[in-house]
Parts: sequence; C-alpha cells; structure tokens
Amino acid sequence: MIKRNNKIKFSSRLSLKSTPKSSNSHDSMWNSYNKSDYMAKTRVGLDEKLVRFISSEKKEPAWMLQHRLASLKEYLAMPLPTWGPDLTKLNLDKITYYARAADKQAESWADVPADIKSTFNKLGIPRAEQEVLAGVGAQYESTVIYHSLKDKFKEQGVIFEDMDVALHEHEDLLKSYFMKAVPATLHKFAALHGAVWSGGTFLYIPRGVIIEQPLQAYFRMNAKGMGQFEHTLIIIEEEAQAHYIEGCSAPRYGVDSLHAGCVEIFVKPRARFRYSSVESWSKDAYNLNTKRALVEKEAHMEWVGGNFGSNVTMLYPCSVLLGESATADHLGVAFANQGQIQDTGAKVIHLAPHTSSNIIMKSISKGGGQAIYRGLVDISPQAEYAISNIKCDALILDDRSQSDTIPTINIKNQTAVLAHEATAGKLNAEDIFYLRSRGLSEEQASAMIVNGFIEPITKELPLEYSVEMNRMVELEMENSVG
Amino acid sequence: MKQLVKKNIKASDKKIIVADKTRVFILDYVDRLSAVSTLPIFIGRESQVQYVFILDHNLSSSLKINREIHIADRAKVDSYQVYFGRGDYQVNINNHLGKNVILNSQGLFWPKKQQILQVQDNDIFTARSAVGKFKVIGLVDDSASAQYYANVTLKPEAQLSEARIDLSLHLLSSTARGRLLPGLKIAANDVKAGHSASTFHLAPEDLFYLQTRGLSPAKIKVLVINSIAGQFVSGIKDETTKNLILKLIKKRSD
Repeated sequence: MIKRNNKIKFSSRLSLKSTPKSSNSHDSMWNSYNKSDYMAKTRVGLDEKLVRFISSEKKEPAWMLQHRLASLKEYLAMPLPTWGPDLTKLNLDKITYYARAADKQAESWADVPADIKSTFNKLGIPRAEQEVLAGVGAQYESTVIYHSLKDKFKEQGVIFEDMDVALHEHEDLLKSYFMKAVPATLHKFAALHGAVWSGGTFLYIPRGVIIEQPLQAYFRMNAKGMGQFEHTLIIIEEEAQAHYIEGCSAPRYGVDSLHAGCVEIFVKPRARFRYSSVESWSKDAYNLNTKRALVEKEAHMEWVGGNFGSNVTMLYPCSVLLGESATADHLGVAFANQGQIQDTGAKVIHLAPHTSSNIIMKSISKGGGQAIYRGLVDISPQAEYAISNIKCDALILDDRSQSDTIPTINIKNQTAVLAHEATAGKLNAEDIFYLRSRGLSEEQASAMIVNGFIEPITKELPLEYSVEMNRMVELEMENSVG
Repeated sequence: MKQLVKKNIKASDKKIIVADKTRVFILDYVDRLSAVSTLPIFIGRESQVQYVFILDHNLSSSLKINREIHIADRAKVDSYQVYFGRGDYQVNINNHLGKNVILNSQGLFWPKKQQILQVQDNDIFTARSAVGKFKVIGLVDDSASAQYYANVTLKPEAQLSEARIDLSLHLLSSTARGRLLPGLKIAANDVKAGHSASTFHLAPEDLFYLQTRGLSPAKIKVLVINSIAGQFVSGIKDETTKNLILKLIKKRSD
C-alpha cells in the first residue's frame, strides 16, 4: 500500500471540494446553483439523433461514432442490471443527456466564465491547484471547462487532458484502450455511457515516471434533471507511479439527476497507482458509476473511496488481477442518511498465480438510510496461491436504518486462501458515556466515534482530504441525537 | 421437562409438530427419492430439540428439498445438516426464530464426482433476544461444485438478538468449485451480527511433514476428513445417528 506522502503539504485552510466549514456552506454545495441558460438548447431523452449530434459537435472520428451507435443499440436492448439496488423508479426519459455550458475549454482560470469559476472557487479547486496538485481538470455539465498540468510533468511525457481533446491529439492511444476494460456489454449503464459519454480525463504516465503530488479532477452537475457521463481513462506504464483524485457534486432540485460515469485504469507491469474519490452528489441524484482496473504483473492498484451524497449509489470498483503477483487494495466508506441507498462494495477477479487482494469497507446508516455492501471475489482456476482478505464493518445508528452485507465468493482453485469477516452493530454506550464525562455532547461523542470507525480509510488519504471526510461525517451526524 | 423422544421423519409425514416444553430428537434422513420434499416443522415453546437432516440418496438424479422450521419462543434447537449422496441437490432451509430462541446450526457438505449442490439457508429473526449461530464446513471433491448461501435477516422487532455465520470451504481437487455467500440483512440497531467465510487447506509444510511420516496424500485426505467428521458429530446425542453419519463418511472416503 502506498503510504501517505509526507512531502505533500496541505494547507490547513485549503478545502478539497465542498468547503464545508459550516453546515450552511456544506448545504450550499447541494442547494446553490448557477443559472443554466444553455439548457434551452438541450432536450430530455435519448435517441440515435442525439448520439449523432454529440459525436458531430465534438468532431469525433468515425470509429467513435460507430462505438457510440453500437453502445446505444446495446443500451436499448438490455434490461436494468440485477446486481445492485432497485432502479425501477429512475425515469430515464426525463434526463438531459448532453449540455454544453461553455463554448471552449479555458487554459487559465481567468478565462473560465465567471459564474462557473465562482462555483469551483467555492469548491476550493483553483487554490488546491496552486498549492498541492500536479494537475487539475474541472468538468461542468457535459464538458470540461478547465484542464492544466504543471510543466515539469509535461516535460516528462505525462499527458493529463480532457478526453475530448485527447481523442483528437492522442487518437491511437485512445482507440487502443477506450472501453476495453469496461465494455459497453457489461451492463445497461455501461452501454448508456458508451453512447453518450462526454468529457472526463485522460491520464497517461510514461514508463518509470513517478508523480508524488496527486492529480485531481472535479465533476459538477449544475442544471436540473441533468445526466453526467464523464469518461476517465488512465494508463500507467511499467514501473510508473501516480495518485489521482476525483471529486463530484451537484445541487438539489427535487428532480432525479443521473451520474453514469466510467473509470478505466490500465496498470502495467510493476506500476503502482492509487485512485481516490470522494463523491458527494445531491440527494436527488442517482450515482451509477462503473470503475474497473486491469492490473498486470507485479503491479499494484489501490481504490480509496468515500460515498456521502446521492439518492441511490451503485458503485463497486473492480480490480482484474491479470498478471502474476498483481495486487489490489480496496478501501471504502459509505454513509447512508435519510432516504438514501448506498449500495457500494468491491469486485476483485483473480486471474493469475500469486495474486492478492485486500478489501476493507465501512458503512454507516442513519435516519432511515440503507447501507449495502455488495462484493465479489472470484478466484479463477489459473490463480494458484491467490490470497484475498475482506473485512466489512457496519454501524447502524438508529432503529429506522438498515445495513445489508452481500458478499459473493467464487473459488475455483484449491490453493486459494481467502478470509472474509463482517460485523454490524451500534455505537457502544460505554464509549459515549466516557466521552460525555470528558465534556463532549452526545452528538459530538457520536461523531468522534464514527470518525474513529472510518479511520482505516481516512488515514490512507492525504491529510486535507481526510480532514474533509471527517468534517462531512460530523455534518451528516448533526441531529443524530434525540 | 419430559424425557427425550426420538422421531424419525417418514415419507408420509405432512408436517411435524413438537409440543411445548418437550425434549425431542428428530432424524430427517433423506435416502430415497420418495422422501418428503417439502416439510414444515413447528417447534413448541421452551422445547429442546436436536434436529438432524441427512441427505444421502444413492441415485444420481436431481432432488429439491424444502424445510420450513418455525421455532417458538424460548426453544433451544441444535440443528445438524449433512449433504452427501450422488445426485444434484437444491436444498432450501428456512429457520424462523421467535423470542429468546437459541439456535445452534452446523452444516457439513461433501459433493463428489460431477455432483452439483445448491443450498439456500435463510435464518429469519422475527423477535427479540434470539441467538443464532451457524457453522458450515464444506468439502468439494473431484469435479463437483457447491454453492452455499446463508442469509441471516434481523427484522426490526429482533432487537437484542445475536447472529453469527461461519462458512468454511476446502476444495479437495483442482477441478472442484465452490461459491459462498454469507449474507446479512439487518434492520435492527441494537444487535450483534457477524459472519465469516474462509478457505482452508493443509499448509505445504504440514503436508510435507505428514508425508515424511509415511502417509500418502490419499491417507492424509482421509485424516483431515475424519477429524472434521469427529468434531461435527460430537454434539449429537443419539448414538445411532452419530454412528450412521460416521459410517456414511467412511463409505464416502473409501
């Protein structure tokens, strides 16, 4: 596991995304939004005409249009996925699948339209770029409005680009890798993504290059009933190392919005890569994300994730351990509050000998929320001496909330060593009593215990991000007593 | 409490009712196709029951078995399930636990050759302060495959209950396949619930040691199985049933 890099200094006042220094500012992430005049040029619903329009507006090569049309065909033919929560209430005909908020991508924050820049300022992105990040991408609705990479990394051959730009400038690379880890045939929302994807990040780290500072992308849905389908494609060449962070948010309108992003990561032999994400969509968003990494010989992949917002989340980052001695770590925390279903987990497919995986998941449910761990560990016949450890813990904070654990374990090799352990319970009354005797209110004591509960995950994030996650827990814990 | 009564389930049984405050040993031995496929069992309040289910018919045809077991308040049940035989089996066992029930359940499965075994074990806690412990050991041999789903559901009314599932799998050949799903669905907050799933096999060092003592791999396999079997039957009170299970295991090892 890549340890926290002490060389990366984070300002104590710097905020990652939501800048939640008070509950009001946290709420503003979900409650405030800009005017969206550009929505007058859009329409709801999806058909071949719209898919052709997206491709033509982006001036895409013919193979990409063909890929989109084939994906649309798959999407229309496929039923809703059965692996995951009930999605029958999601009205896919009411979603706006494509909206362009800015005419062109800016090269500096000064060129970004004022209202959009203001949103990202509130989220703390420009300042983070100056102080701690190697590069930044910012997407607003369907298109990327800003992208930059520090010169010293450009000189080393690193590519950090908006996907639309990369499709033109690095077409051969994209053609070789695009939707090869997550094919459109995987499930209905992968097919939908293949048809209407727009924006996202392309990251290429050449052989042997090590980037110690994280690269970050931030995705913001602004308009009512919007759908966002960004595509993140990451290639880490042999012996390279990097850390990439994604953040996401959207305002609350009381109308369903949809996020069906896709992340594909190719970790080449002996490379190491960490992908962190903190997703805080508004509580009327469906977050149906698909993330998958193909991990080659002796390479290492880490997923670190926090899921706080959204109405329904369906997210199971997947590592496919293709090469001998490939390894993967999955660390995740999900907080399900009132009206939320957090259906999250991990999938690891062991396809080679001496591969190993480690899954640690924590969930908290409160106020009638439902937290579900749904996981898969598959050890194939070729995966001699594979090792997998899975640990899931759930906290249920009141008698209206629910916690489910649904781990599927397939073992097809007799040499496999696997251990899965899960527990569920409530806050310990003795711990609360002790903290109250030290002068804390019951609410503060509960928040402190919950933060301790998720500490194995937050400690793997850079300091500023873990502080942010702890603060989000404290805000979710407000009014948890009584 | 009355004396222990032994009850052998017959093909003609439509349902089994255990009266309140009784001590009963129930043997549910499915050894022929005419065996009862669906059977509700009602266990009365404060009764003490040992229930042994053995599936071991000698025909290689497929069989579906359902058992619906309702355990009334303050009853204590020790349940043993053994899955051998030659056919393909789909077994569905639903345990419904009342208030203050104590259920200790143990399972042992050992499919061989081309056998396909699918077990769905649902344990539903419907009232307060019940305790359920479920321990399953699976051996899968030759080209057989086994799928064992154990689902514990704690309803909102099941506060102060405790549930624990432990599934353990040992693949005895390179072509054997196993699938485990220890599921928890918890809708009550003041409960203790946990589960584990694991694989086990002899470490190469242990295997090497036993071989240096003159034991062949086949004999080592038998030793491991006998050790598991000995532990499994140790709590069964009825000696005839205990010996029956050991005899079936020996026959299967030969």
